[in-house]
Amino acid sequence: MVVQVVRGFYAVAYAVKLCRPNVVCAYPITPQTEIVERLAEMYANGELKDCEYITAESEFGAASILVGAAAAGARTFTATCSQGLILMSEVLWNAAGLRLPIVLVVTNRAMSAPLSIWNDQQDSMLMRDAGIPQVYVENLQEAHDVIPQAFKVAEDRRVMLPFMVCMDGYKLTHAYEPIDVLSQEVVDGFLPRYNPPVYMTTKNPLTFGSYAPPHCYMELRVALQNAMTRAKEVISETCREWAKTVGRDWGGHLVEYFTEDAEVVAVAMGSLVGLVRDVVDEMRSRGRRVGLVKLRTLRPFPVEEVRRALRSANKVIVFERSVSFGYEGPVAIELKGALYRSGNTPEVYSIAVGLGGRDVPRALIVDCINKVIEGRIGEGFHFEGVKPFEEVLAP
Amino acid sequence: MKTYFGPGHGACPGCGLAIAAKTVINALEGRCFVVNPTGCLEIISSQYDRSAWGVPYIHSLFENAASVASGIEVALKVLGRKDEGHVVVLAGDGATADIGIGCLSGMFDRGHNVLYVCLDNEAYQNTGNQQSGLTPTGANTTTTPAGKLQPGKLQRKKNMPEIAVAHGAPYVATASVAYVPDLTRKVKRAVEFEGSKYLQVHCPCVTGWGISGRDVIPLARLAVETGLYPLVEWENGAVVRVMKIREKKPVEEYLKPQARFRHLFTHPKGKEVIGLIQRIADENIRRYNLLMGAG
Amino acid sequence: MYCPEPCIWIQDVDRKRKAVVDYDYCKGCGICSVVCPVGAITMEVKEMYKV
Repeated sequence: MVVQVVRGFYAVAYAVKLCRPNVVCAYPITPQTEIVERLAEMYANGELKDCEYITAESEFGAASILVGAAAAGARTFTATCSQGLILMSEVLWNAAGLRLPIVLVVTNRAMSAPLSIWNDQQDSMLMRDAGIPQVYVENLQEAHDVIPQAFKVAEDRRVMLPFMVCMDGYKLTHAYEPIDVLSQEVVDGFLPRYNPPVYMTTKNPLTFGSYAPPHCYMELRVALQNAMTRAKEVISETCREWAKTVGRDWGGHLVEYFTEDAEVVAVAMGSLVGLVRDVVDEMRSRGRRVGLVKLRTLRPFPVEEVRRALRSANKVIVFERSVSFGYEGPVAIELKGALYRSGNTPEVYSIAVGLGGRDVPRALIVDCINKVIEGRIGEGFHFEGVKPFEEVLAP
Repeated sequence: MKTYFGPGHGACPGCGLAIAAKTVINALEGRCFVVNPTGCLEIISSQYDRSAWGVPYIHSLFENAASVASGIEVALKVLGRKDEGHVVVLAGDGATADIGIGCLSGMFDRGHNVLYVCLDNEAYQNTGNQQSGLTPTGANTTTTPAGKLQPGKLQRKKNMPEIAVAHGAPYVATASVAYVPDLTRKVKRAVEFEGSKYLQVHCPCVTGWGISGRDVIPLARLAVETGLYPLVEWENGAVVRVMKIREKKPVEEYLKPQARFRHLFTHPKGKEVIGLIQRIADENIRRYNLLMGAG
Repeated sequence: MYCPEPCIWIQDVDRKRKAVVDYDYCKGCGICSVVCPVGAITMEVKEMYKV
């Protein structure tokens, strides 16, 4: 076991290197740039074997290059966020439909306008419908560990889909944490070579990306849904296998923390989980029956696991790092959908915090939970941690 | 004789694109990977559950053919499969000069070993003849229609070959389905070069230009003989060969048989535009030294 | 070589080189009749399909 203090971007880049990618595409966007920069250094020093590093002319170009490379049989990787993610979204949707297992790290960042380079999860939310699994990591060890799992799930023949690893920009990418650095032997033993069932080759000329008229399009979408459904089991299976291989169990689709007897259950994704867990510990020590659900997989959405985790909750607080404008926080929307007709209809509070990198102090989390417990806040959607301001509407 | 493309695709009878695509693929004897963005060629050849392609083929998106081709080229290199075949893009003019120009520039910039063939039928024909950057001056398209005030498109045809040359592409050429042996020769010549090659092929479109199948080859030849579509070859940045014009033809001879230019002969501004088109042709002749016996 | 399909080939027929057309694929565009150097091809209008 080699423990090293690393920064998040290095934890990711090093894990990617261990997964032996064949084509890495880079286009800079804060705060993922350092990930691709570390990979560039490794490439320049000959540390990425059987790998080409391509500097693309845009994120759209980067993702497109990976589509070609993956179709020809190469293992592929890129990283992006925010504006870059939405720019390449056309290609990612296309890759999902083409069933190409491109792995990408999304360093969650706020969406323009207004421009913000700081962290929230608005970007990855917009990819929910594409048919691409997305997993949110809480800390650097998890980010490091999830990369090999991401490749394994994506390339599994039951799945064959792109895979998004979401990690909070700056909060995780630039943080320093001690991690157990994986070894090449461990990753080689866990992750087999990319072996697609079909790929572009003159030895077996095939046509990829046909257009599908109404008489056959729908069946292909059913197939995509089936792949996502199977992905749910493959993600759990891969997580268990990882736990056996390395001794760290990240818990599958979600992790329950003191939910069995909790009256109030907080739900969070990403780096915020760590803070909420601390608050839950403190409140428990003072006798408050609070619990936490760390939601890891947003797609495919773990309906059964969510229902089980929230089965005895009277009140659920979803700490959102994004908003579906015109409605409420997307995680609460999804959760409520999962709870429908499940036998438990708790009060759900959708509370958006920390948008655009706004600091989320411990006191804010405590305050929100107390407000809910004491009934000082209504059910539904709220922004918390907002400064008072006056909106002037033009006449 | 074997063909690696068609027959049995859904192209209009007399489609220029089909002649070009078939010629390119067969010139390479099927040893190629084809990347084809959205457009007529893709639609007529790769409907789900059937295919006109006897080579590995991918349709990705409209604007990213150059990038997808780059990715295939890189993958083949990394996986030790470079010798399997040439990576070829068969893209329409809209995909090349407009929506895909960013990706194309990136591909040229990185110098991927790809043969990029632009099938130039001079508009977004698959969606019904909307103007593109390669639509020539004077053309009536649905987005640059000839109306009471406007006599069709007034902007110029984007000089994509020179853009390719400016990017440092080692081999750039224009060709036409009017001269299939010449096109074949250019394809074979192009792949002798390492790097990003650009080949722009003039492909008459019976539906979009408003001509009949029988007009296709004679008209394509007229385009060359008027100087409107100069056939030029650049190697490493310098012009090495042009197809000389034996007998220069006035542009009217080329314009009149096509429905997309016919308005020029009745529109109040028509004469002026024809004059402009003639000047463009003369400029090409001068610039590339196209007249036989000259220089 | 100018046929867009292609559906016309030069083949050896009775020890002579002849242009042979596969009529299953011919769309009747007429290009071949125009480019044939010896004018050996004529296009005939077949009856339009009646619906």
